[in-house]
Amino acid sequence: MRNLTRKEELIMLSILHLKNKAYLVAIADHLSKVTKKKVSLTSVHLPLSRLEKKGLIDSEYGESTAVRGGRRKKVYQITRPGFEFLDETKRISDLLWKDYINLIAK
Amino acid sequence: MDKPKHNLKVLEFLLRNLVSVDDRENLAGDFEEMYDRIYHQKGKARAVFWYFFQVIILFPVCMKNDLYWSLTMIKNYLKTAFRNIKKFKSYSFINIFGMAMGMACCILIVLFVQDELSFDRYHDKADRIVRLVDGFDVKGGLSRYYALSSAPFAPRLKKEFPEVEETVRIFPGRGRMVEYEEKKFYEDYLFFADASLFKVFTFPLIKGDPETALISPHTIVVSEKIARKYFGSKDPLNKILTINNQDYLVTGVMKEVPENSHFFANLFASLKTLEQIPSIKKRYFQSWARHEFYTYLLLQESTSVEKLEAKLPGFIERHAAAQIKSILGGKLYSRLQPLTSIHLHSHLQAELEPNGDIKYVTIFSVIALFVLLIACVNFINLATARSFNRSKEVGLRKVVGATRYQIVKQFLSESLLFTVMALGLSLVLVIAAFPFFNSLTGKEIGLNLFNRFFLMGSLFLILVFVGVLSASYPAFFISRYQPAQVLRQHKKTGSQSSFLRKSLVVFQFSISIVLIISTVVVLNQLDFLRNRKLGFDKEHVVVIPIRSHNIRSNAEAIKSELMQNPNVLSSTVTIGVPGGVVAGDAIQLVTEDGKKTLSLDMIYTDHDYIKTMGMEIIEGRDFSKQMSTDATQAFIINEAAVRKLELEEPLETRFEWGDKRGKVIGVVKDFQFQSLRNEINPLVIHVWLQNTFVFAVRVRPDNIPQTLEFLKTKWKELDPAHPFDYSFMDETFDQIYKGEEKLGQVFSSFSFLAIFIACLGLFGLSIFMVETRTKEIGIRKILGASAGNIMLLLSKKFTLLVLTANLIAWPAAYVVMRKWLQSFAYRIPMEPWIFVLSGFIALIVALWTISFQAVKAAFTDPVKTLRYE
Repeated sequence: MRNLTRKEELIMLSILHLKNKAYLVAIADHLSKVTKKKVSLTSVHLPLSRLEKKGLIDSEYGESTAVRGGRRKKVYQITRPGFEFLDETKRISDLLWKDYINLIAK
Repeated sequence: MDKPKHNLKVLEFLLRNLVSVDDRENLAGDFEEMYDRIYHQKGKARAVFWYFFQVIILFPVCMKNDLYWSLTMIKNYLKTAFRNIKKFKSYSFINIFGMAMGMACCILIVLFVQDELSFDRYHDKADRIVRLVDGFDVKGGLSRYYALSSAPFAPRLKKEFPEVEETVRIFPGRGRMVEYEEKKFYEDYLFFADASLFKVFTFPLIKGDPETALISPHTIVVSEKIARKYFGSKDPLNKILTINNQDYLVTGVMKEVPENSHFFANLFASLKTLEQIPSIKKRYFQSWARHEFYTYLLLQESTSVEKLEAKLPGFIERHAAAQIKSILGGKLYSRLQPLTSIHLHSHLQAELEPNGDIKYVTIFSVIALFVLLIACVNFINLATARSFNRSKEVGLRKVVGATRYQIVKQFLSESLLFTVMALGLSLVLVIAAFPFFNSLTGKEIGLNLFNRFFLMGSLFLILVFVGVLSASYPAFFISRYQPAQVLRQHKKTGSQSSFLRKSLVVFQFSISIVLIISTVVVLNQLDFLRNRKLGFDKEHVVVIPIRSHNIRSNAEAIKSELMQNPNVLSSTVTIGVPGGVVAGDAIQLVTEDGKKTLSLDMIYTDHDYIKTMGMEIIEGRDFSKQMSTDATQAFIINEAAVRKLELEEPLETRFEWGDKRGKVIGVVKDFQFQSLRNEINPLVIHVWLQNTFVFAVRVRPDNIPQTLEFLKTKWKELDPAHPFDYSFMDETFDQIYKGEEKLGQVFSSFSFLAIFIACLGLFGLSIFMVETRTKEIGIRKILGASAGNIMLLLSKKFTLLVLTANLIAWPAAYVVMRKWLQSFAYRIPMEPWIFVLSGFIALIVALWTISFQAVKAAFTDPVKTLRYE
């Protein structure tokens, strides 16, 4: 199984959360809201294109707005292999996170 | 949300060009949205800064991306190019070979120019060295400039002007015999020099101390080769060399003087040797009027040559003027020449060696550039002519998304590929042409030059220049194709550019014709100079240098002894034969208003000079031994002297020269005693044996080997100490035209090359033309056209082009060659036949080239060409 970086994983989950509004600026915003840290556009853009190359997400052009100077958004969504991948990641993570509270309480 | 007004055009442009195409749109949108937010939250400055920063950090990633894709495309371009080369072998050969020849010319010329420009620059202080030369002005308006100066200048200048850091004087001692034990040779490159020689010039010593080597009298520094020649493997230091029966102690061994020096030397003896002899010291070293020394000054850093030069008239006034006026009767001007300009710019009397000429450097470069241009034109022509073959490819590329910029890039890289291949071939040609080129220029340029930076730089420049120039038009032209058009229609589009192609062919042939005309003119002028009535008979005169005073003092006896041999017709002792040395000296013309001092060319000789040289006396008589006064009171002048001095009755003219007072007894018909470039100067001939240096013998044309044998045995008896050497006067005289001869050879080789390359292109075009018109020709033949008709049809167009080229070339060649001819005092007229002949040659060659294809087309069976549709 191919590996994902933490960043890529977070980005995929953000896309999931944002539903069909997941474009670059929105993803970056969402991430910085969750992590409470500043997230730059470029630091999101590169993992995004990597994920797209791996076929875990794909994109289509969305509507354009005035604030974007009339340019269209590139909206990302998770593909079938992407979902399978997320499932698998969650299974592994859950296994590893299991009994976390008990474990640190000792 | 109101839209902030922003001016991010530049940044956006950068961004757009950085990011790959498919990402461009939305990324710019994302950036703008973010920019907008920051603008509202933190203000404009922060927003602009942020945008800028983003663009900067995008650079490395995007560059990598870009590079990767362009490499992929270049690989594709190269593949296409190679396929094209393979598919169209004859075109590719014409292109590559023609260009290689053009480049080879250029490389050779670059080597030549580099060598010419490098003269004397190897001296560490080359920029600060100047040569002091003297101009001499006599009242009669006859002025002369010499590369020489008199001896007291150097020490006095150093004393009076702080700008002058060091000086050195050089006195040529050529042709002296140097002996060591059994070995005896004449050394032509012996000089006497001040001890400061090594402080001024950079002649590194391998052995010995440069500070002290030439300080004492009778010391000598020899070059490595000379050391090997005389001493073999022995240590040369402290050996004794005998020069003209005087002993010199070898105090140093220097490296060979480089070829690119304005004078070559391999022995430097100390000038002190001469200075310590009292009689010489008085005559040469203390006189301001004896101009016998080559004087070089080393100036302090940042000294202005002009300012120093401006101080010289005052200096001369203080020290030299009075003496010069009384002895030579004129005014002296001194000039300073920067050392590095001597080789190309100085053409004074008595140069140490014949110099190069900046004119030839320019002419060579211009011609080479033209030949290269002709080769580039071939490329452009062939590329546009067969652009039809490529139009589909270009159309398809555009359909799948190539931009015009990419097409241009493709053609650029293709032509660069051609150029690189041509460059490789041209290097082979250069190596092959080296011996010929060296004999043409009289240089010893070696291949070791190939690792020089200058050359590598020029090669690179030539490469880029040729590649870009050749590709520019085709790339521009082909990339304009509309894909829909070229993919739909089948007919050729190549004819659109035919006007340009025609003009370029005219351009090529104009240049070729100009070169042909120049060749004809130069060769004709040369022929004219050689066959011009010289005023004397240059054939069959043996010239023997006089090495021993014994011969000079017994001249009359030797002459009568030689006359015993029936093959010897006449002989004379003289300062020099025509084309060789002439003296220039002051002489006083006695007129009714008193004496007038003039500086005239002068030949010192004996009674038989005019007879031996086969000259003609047109007034008065020749010197005669019957007249006892002829040796002491007679002068003969030439026609030019009669004209220039405006002598109404030449035979009544009186001259005074030193103690000699006398009358003109005869006028000799003008004869050419110097280069035909110059007009014949006024000349005085008189009997004076002390300054004679050669023995000239006129011999019968038959049995010359026996006569030479006779002279040799006689000479061995008369002068056993010196080896016998001789030359023929006609050979030495023809040396004067070496420069012109070289030019003639250069012109003929280059015009041959030019027309050859132009014809290569023409050949390619004719292939193309016949190819596109096969069907037309087939139909014409079926309808009854004869082979002759077809050939005429095909040649007509090119004939017109070459004729047009003539019209352009003639005036251009006329202007250029007239200018060149003006530098000769005696020149041929520019006759129309030269132009017509050259045009005709070009036309014949062009038609001959086309005829290959025309004949082929004319005799092809029409069935073959029409069978397939």
